[in-house]
Amino acid sequence: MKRTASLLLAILVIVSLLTACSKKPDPQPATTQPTETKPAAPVELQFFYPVGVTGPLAQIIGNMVDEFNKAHPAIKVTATYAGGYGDTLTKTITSIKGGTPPDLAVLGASELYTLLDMDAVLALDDLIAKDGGQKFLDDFYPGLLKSGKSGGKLYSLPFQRSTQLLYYNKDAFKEVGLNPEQAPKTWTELSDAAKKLTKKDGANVVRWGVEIPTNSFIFQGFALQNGAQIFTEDGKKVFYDRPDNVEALQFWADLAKAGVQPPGAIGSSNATTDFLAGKAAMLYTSTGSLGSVRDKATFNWGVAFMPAKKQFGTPTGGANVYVIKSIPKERQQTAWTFVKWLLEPERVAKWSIETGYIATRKSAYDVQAMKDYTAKLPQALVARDQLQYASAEMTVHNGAAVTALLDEAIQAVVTGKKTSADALKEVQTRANQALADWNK
Amino acid sequence: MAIQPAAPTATRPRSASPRLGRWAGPYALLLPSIVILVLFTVWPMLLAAWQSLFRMNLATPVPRFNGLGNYAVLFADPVFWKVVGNTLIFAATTAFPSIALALALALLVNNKVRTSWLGRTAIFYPALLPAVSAASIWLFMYTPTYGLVTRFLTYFGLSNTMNVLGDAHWAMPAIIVMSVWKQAGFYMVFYLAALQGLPQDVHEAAIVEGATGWQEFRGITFPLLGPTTLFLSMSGILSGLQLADPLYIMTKGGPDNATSTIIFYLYQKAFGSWDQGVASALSVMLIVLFLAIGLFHYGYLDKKVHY
Repeated sequence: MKRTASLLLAILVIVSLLTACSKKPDPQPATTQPTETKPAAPVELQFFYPVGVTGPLAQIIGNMVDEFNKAHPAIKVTATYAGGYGDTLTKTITSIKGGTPPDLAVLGASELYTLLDMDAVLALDDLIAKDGGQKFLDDFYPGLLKSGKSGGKLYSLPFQRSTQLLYYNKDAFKEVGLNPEQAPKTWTELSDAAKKLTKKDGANVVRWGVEIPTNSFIFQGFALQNGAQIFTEDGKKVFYDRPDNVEALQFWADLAKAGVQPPGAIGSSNATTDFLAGKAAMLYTSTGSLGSVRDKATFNWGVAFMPAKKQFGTPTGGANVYVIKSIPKERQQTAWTFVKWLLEPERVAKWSIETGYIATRKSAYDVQAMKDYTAKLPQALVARDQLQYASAEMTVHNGAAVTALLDEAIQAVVTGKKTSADALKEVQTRANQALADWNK
Repeated sequence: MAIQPAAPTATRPRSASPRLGRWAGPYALLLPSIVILVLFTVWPMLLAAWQSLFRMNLATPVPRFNGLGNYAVLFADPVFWKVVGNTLIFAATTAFPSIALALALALLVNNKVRTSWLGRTAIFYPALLPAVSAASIWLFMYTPTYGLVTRFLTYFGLSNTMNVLGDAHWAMPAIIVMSVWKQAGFYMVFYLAALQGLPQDVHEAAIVEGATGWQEFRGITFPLLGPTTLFLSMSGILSGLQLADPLYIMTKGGPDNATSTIIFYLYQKAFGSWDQGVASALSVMLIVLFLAIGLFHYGYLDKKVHY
């Protein structure tokens, strides 16, 4: 009897184990029953999004999604915050591979080739042709729209796009005798101003002249300011070790050597926090933090174009909206409804006002709320005005590996372990290897 | 009247194979654990070993057989050797100091003083913190200019511009300090339990013979703690080899891979570069390393331990 009982128990455990391990059925879109009077359950859309800058962006997105759900009772969008751009891409691709893809996602504009190599995203041309057409597309800034195009098709639409900006503390400028309405326009002016703005107390630094985060996005800005793009448009080649780039990285590292910039590798959220705390008088970061600076700064502040060497230049950063390819056709149409709503001029204007990201449609700047806002805060227009000097962020095949190599070189130079020429030459060789498969 | 022993065949169970009948129950009860072990440990290991023989990356959507090509790629990669070195250094420098500190602390708080629970709690609580919370706290403490550690160091004359986590030489020691702080308390509990289970007569004999504290420790206490030390040594080394969460929060493996470990590199390859062939090769090497360490501990060191 005891043996039978233990056998039965074992079988019970095994059966419950197998049930727990079995795959859950995919959520089905509700089908309406013509004979019943109760309303059909709404179509549920899964939406992944990142937050790549300092600020309460998750809350803003949550509010927008609630607004959409109220206005569209037949659709229920569930927005899931998925971390930074890298994390959101990882989560999206893992979900696709695991058979439970989201319906749409906001992913880095520069991830296009990775997504295309995995055949993960849907070409939007058919959906646009039926609903908006060329007139819709013409309203977007062409530079921003370009990053979603490949092989004659459009795979994404610009949602949260940025340029880099030079934020500066006007009160600090006045304190050291610099004109607070005149931000540095060239590299030389930047390092001169930074020298004046650095305040020390013995061996301790009370305020840095400038604080520049250590990442490849910032490096692309320096490279563009000193001449040219560091990758080819087809995403198959990179040019890290060009003499202009070596010079740019050297200038950046020399700022720390001159004592006007913190030493070592610096995180971008640290840099923003230091600026807001008055510990850095100038800051290199994305316009996406404008909203946060506006709300938190306790001093007069301004923004300006990135200082030039041979020319003004900045990469356009940020993320686009993508629709996932593997979802059923009816859901693609529903997902498109949400995308279209998200990109309506009023919405685009609201998003830009609350965050600082560039409004990606020209008509958004004519919306009354936007006109009032920019009249009060002219800083909000600087990023858009810089678009004429902006170029695409590095978008290449095998993007993660190739960008990681660049980050490695930058970190080595900024921490004083390698010279600019050596570091960039070494990663150029390895980057060529990483891209070899696409250059056969 | 003598009691006759029952005829041997009268009470035999009716199943065809008597041995199977007796063991069916126990094996059936083991079956869930075996199923889980096979499904979540053995099968993935075999799958990883198989996948490591294929080219599976962004450029090769259809996997192509590659023999040991992925391993060749790794051996030629300077970053691979760097992360292997980092991982071994991490494991050694977090495991042994943690254990030594744990032993010292256990000896310290192993007394019947009323307030000893205070000391034990204070030393143990870091082990209860989730890894991410601990990493976030220390990230803040290491922040230049106003982080607690930075400000503490300025009292020793160092400049407040020290960027510990952003410096290639100091990032790893900084993380090691955090790891030891987090683990030592946990290991201390094991030693405390072991200390309190030690036989008293041996200690009394030592005192009678006039042994000094150090002789007593070295000759009696430490050898008798052998099993605990063995277990903690393996546990510490294995968890040191698996360090990844704090790295993700504090340094993302940088600067310039100074704090990258095999597991972190594996994560980057698998979920950043989506190069599953090379990631599988890394997994296989990690499995072999772990098995070797386990075998060394329980196959060889085990024999030297007093039980």
